[in-house]
Amino acid sequence: MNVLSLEKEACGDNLKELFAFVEQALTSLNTPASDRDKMMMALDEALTNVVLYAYPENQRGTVGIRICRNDNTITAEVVDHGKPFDPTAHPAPDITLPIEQRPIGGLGIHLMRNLVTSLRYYQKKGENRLVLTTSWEKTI
Amino acid sequence: MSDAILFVDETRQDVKLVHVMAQRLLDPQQADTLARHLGGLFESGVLCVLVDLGSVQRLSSIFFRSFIMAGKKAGEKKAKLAFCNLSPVIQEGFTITGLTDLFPIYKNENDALSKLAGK
Repeated sequence: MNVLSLEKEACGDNLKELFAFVEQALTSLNTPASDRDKMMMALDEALTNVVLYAYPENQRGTVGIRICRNDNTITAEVVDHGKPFDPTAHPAPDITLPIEQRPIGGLGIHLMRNLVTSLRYYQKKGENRLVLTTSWEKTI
Repeated sequence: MSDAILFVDETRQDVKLVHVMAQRLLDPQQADTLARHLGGLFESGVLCVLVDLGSVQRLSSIFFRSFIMAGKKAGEKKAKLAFCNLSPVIQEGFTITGLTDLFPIYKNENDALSKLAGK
């Protein structure tokens, strides 16, 4: 199975390269456009969260991304060594509130969770691993 | 980090049309810029702003925060904020986050202007 991966220092200056890698990887794996766009939006979110929140301001750390395709499923794994954070346990925002009662933030994880087929978090050897998958129907 | 945002504003039939020209809206700083730009329009007395996202292919959720901030400002000023020309994935993002219940979304400018102008 072809696995495409990239690891960079988790800083804002590297986000552009990480985002570009995601787009290139999903395209090279022949992901259908609709699934590619949704996975890109979800991964943009996951990578931004690591860069912004995983490490204390004065601490350097890395963010890794691995993407592979198996049949009609794309699996992407985002890896960091920062503080543990399980987005799958994060409560869903109330998206029915009127504008004046709407919190400004808190939509990113909800968006990520709903853009992909599955979202899984686990820790392994001090690493945080967030696994996003998207699957699509086979076309004959 | 992302493409430089270039706002092209025009006024048509009492509607302030804000064309967002960047293909990628991913940078948190640009999200702040967009929120300030839209909020500034409402502060200056504009009563209806239509945001054209037709050039935008990729959008981070940080920008949904900008839209909610601008929507709150619009509400304070009894003004209206609407959107048009959303790509399928951005439309889905609006739906997932419930923004479709907060703002009018139109297929294109002409559709929007026919419904917003003069209101």
